[in-house]
Amino acid sequence: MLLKSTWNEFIKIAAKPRSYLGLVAITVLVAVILFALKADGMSFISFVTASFEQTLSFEGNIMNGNLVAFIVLQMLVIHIPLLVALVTGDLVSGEAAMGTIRMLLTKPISRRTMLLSKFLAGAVYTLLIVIWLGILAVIVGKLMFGVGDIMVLNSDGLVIIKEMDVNWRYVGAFGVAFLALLTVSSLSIMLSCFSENSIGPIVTTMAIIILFTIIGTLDVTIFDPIKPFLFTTHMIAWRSFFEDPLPWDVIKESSIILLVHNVIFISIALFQFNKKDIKS
Amino acid sequence: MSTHREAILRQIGCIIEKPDFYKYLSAEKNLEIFARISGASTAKYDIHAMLEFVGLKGRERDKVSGFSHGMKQRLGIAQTLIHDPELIILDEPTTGLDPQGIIDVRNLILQLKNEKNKTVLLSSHQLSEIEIIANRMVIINKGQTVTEGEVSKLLNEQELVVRMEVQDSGKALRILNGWSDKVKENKDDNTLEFATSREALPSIIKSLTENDVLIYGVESKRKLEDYFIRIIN
Amino acid sequence: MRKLTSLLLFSILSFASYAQDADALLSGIVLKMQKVKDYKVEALITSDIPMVKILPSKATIYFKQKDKIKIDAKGIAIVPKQGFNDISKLLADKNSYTAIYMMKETVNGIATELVSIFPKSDTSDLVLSKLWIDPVNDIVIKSQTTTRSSGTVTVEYKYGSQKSWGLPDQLIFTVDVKKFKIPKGVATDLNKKSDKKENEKEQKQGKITIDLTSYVINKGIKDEVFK
Repeated sequence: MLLKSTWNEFIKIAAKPRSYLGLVAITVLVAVILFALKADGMSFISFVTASFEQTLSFEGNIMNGNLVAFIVLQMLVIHIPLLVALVTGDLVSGEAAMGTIRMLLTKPISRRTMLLSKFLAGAVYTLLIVIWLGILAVIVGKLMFGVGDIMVLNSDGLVIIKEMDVNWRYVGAFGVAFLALLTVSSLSIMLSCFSENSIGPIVTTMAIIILFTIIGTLDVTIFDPIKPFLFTTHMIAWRSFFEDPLPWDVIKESSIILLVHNVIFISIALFQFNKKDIKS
Repeated sequence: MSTHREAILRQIGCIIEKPDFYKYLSAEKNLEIFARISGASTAKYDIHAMLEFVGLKGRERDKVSGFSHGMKQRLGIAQTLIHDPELIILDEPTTGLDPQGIIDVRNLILQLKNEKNKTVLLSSHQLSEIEIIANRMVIINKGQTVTEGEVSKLLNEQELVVRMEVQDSGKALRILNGWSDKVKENKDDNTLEFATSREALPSIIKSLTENDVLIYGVESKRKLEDYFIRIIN
Repeated sequence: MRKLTSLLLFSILSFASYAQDADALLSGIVLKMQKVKDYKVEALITSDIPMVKILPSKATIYFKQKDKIKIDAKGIAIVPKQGFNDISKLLADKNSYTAIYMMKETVNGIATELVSIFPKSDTSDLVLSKLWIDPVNDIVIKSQTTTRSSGTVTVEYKYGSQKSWGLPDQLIFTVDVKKFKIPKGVATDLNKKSDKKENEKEQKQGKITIDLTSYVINKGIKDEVFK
């Protein structure tokens, strides 16, 4: 029943124009970034490597598809939550507003199954967004810029990773990025359970992300104890895959914190949805 | 209910309040969605057959956003039937419909009852509708059952209100006063209105004709409304 | 007074003879360099630079007289900006510098003569270049070049099979890295370890080792390669 209900959710998501907004927006954004890098990529690199270039010169195809994909991910991971929330924030509240949730729950399906199917559908939609981003960034990036070693600037210096060592890192990075976006999806579905209109959960999700991000970036000691527990702090955990040596403990910790967030969000959502008055 | 919720719901098809659908989906997609979570067939053939039954043939692929209230109500009934339940619960199915819509939905419910042999539980404030559709009725007031039984029987126990058009209302009034104590005369159009039992009506008519009162028309009403008001008071 | 005059005269003479020595040493080097019209060599570049993590990378280096050089890296390779073919470039124009013989010195067990080179032009980027020359084989064993733009780069040359051509098998560059700074705000990652940074601050020199193998000398290289 869960799978049947999830399939229903796909049909609904697929029929809504706003679901394609995310895919179109990503396509346009990536196209703009790829175009900009193609036109003036070297100046972007020299900005990053400026302090090294007085004494060292970097030889080889630096602005290659692997670096381009990294830049695209870096630039877009902050914006994609909005595109995800646009769809997932509507999954429960949209049906409450339309009245269809009442119709659904007269059917032989439990509220828990119904809500879990929405989480599943939200997860699959998020996965599709991530895969689409991956295809555009990595595959189109490589087609346009060729392959090569990737040079990444971390806070403790430059890391240059061999080309043959890059692909699995991207798989890992996209995996963690997916987990981060899944948390956004779960958050917005949870908020969606508390709302009767679809715009509320979307705006609230973004407000929470912005607030947490600001808290995370403020260099104020009073916030230091909570920073590691904000899910937004771990939204850039995918970057850890481009460090050398790979900080497995950091990746593991971030993944666990993101997973715990998902579990908490889903639990709150289940509790709220079970006692939700579906009558209009 | 809470322990066997799904098993019970499998035997029930219902519309609570008003039928709401995914406006951005077609009629058949909407039905398909409800069929799927009801464990019913999602085959196009079955979906289309159901839409045909409720009179939406030819509108299968149209988006629900373009449907009238009556069409949505009929699609709602299709949705209740999709998993072939024993009991169908309809909550004020004719509210807000135009006269044709009311007739369509009423006929559909009668079809459910007569052709598909479904038990239909109908809640309505339209008492005339209940009179036409229902076999049994329960009157509930403030959560309390006031009366319960077969509609025809409950109504037969009640006096009829008879409206009669005659040639000479004055003469008729004198004869009727022997039969009924509350006779209202309208001299302008020579009509009389009075309450009487169902059994007494033929004798009254006979008595009038024997006294050479020409009768142009007799109209009898079961006053369910009056009955209802009296009972809940 | 005469004593003083003769001493002065002696010192002028000896300075002249030293200068003569320096020029002779350098012309020996130049002569050897000119024998190599072009070469192609496979390089394995190993970098040990603070704040830069890179695995050894492979590249093909092409050279053609008098100053064409091309590094064709398979992936990304980090090479010093200075010190690659600066010496041959510098020595090619005899009128652009003044060479002064300094002293004898033993470098890595080889007896060398140290020559300092000053540019004649005031606007030159080069401030000073020191060459430790093996006079027996007419090869440079070590060089130290200070430029306005890049600080000081020290290069050690190790010779093997191509010693007769004056081409090294290994180059070890030591470069100043004190100017390295990570642009703030560019890098935002999770595991900022401040203690790690402090350690690296102490290491101020980077070392790049280039192993050169499979020399192909004087077989002709098309100019297109350098474009």
